[in-house]
Amino acid sequence: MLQGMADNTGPGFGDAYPRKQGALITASDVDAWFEREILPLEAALMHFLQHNWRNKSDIADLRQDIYVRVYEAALKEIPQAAKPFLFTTARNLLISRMRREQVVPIEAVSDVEALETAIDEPGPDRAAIARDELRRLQTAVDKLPPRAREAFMLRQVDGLSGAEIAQRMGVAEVTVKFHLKEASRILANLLYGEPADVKRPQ
Amino acid sequence: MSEGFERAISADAMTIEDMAADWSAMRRMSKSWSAERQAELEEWLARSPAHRVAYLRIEATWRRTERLAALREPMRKTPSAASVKRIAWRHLAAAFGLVLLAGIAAESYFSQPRGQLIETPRGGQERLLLADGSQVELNTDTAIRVNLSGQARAVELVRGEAFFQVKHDASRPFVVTAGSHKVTDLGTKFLMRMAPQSLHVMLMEGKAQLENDSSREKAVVLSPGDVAVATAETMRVTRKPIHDLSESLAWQHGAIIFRNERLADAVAEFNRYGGRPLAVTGEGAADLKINGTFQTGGAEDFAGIAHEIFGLHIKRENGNIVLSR
Repeated sequence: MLQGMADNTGPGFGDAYPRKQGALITASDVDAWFEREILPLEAALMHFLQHNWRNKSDIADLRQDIYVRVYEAALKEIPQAAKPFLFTTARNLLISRMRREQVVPIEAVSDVEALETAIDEPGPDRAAIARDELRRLQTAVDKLPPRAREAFMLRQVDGLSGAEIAQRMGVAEVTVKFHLKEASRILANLLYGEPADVKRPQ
Repeated sequence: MSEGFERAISADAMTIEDMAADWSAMRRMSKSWSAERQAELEEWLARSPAHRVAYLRIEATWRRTERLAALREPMRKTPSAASVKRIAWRHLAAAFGLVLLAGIAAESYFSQPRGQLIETPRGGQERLLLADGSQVELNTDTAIRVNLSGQARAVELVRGEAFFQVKHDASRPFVVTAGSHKVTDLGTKFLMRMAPQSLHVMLMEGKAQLENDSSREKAVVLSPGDVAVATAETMRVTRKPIHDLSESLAWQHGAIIFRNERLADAVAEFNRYGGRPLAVTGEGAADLKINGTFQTGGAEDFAGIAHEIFGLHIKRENGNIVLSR
């Protein structure tokens, strides 16, 4: 079973990029860093974007552009501190977007100065994430549409292949893929894009 | 196959995310991921860092949720416990008989002498490879009947929307009927969609002929970029840039793209995909114009955006989402 980027058939393995100091930094180093340091900050980043960009339909694009910039910078040199780096990148992108756009929402302009202070927005507490991880995963999975959840659980819990899931659910394999895609996209937004501790019981 | 169209709309983060999710799902579904597939994946990843970060994010989600399996680990050690769980899942599957039927239909239609009905549920999609090498992609809530055994290759679009990529064979024309309308392929890629009062045919490549058996109107030959709207009596053809047409295929990646669309029409489009139904009420609200790329089935998000942009009120009534001024 092929899973993860760390296995030797995973994409990017061994891709080498020159580093400033002359040492080599591989794409798989950057991939691991990105997953470990940047993705857990997504909820805070989304919060930041939602408060500083009026047109909500741009936000997925903005997040994507910010990730691309962060990733490309990390290929040259992995930043020492991920969080300030991510938010500085986000702020710079928003400012350059506002300057470039022909139609700038008035609210957005007035918020430019607030960008500076918003960088200290507290992100999710990592200890809390670790403690509640399993409960959080279950809560997220429970929010999936029933068919998507079924296909996803058959894959992740029972370890079935696409053909086996198709047979079990009585659907074509393309339909299984449709459900798995939907599940993975919704879960990515729930697990990374939303705060960890929305409904934590006291 | 629809490479050109994929590229045309690849600028949208949501579409890239969809493609990344596609790769991740395919990889995890396959029992033996071939070196060729891996090479294709790596080529796609190398094409743009945007592809790579989107893929990383989806992959991270898959890996992170592997922990769910650990939850069930103690149960799986005894075979009986495992089989009990399987049965439970099967019961769950049986509860969705409708989708099940669609799947069986798709598998067995080759062997049916008379045209077999193939359907997708609301929110579903299906890609079919026909015995003659042609491909048909069915969008949400769509039904077609395929009969390749006769003199001509005959497909009936019963309802909904389908994208056809026809393998041309001069000796056996490929004919798609929809009501009294008939599209005859002359080697093409085209999209057909049935609306309540009209039929839309968009031609992406090649040539096709559109005619109406029950009207005196002459048959028209469509060229790439042509959009034909046919009603019971009339046929109107306009020409659009291919890029605009390719946006009509965004559903293949789970997206809907609106360009200056009336809010009422946008809402109707969302409702085709199921989920919570949207409605628009109030003076002037229906005619507001909307732009952007949305997820099919993202009705809630869409309502939030309409609220945000137009200051519309969102009400929930009997499970419906009502937007009003």
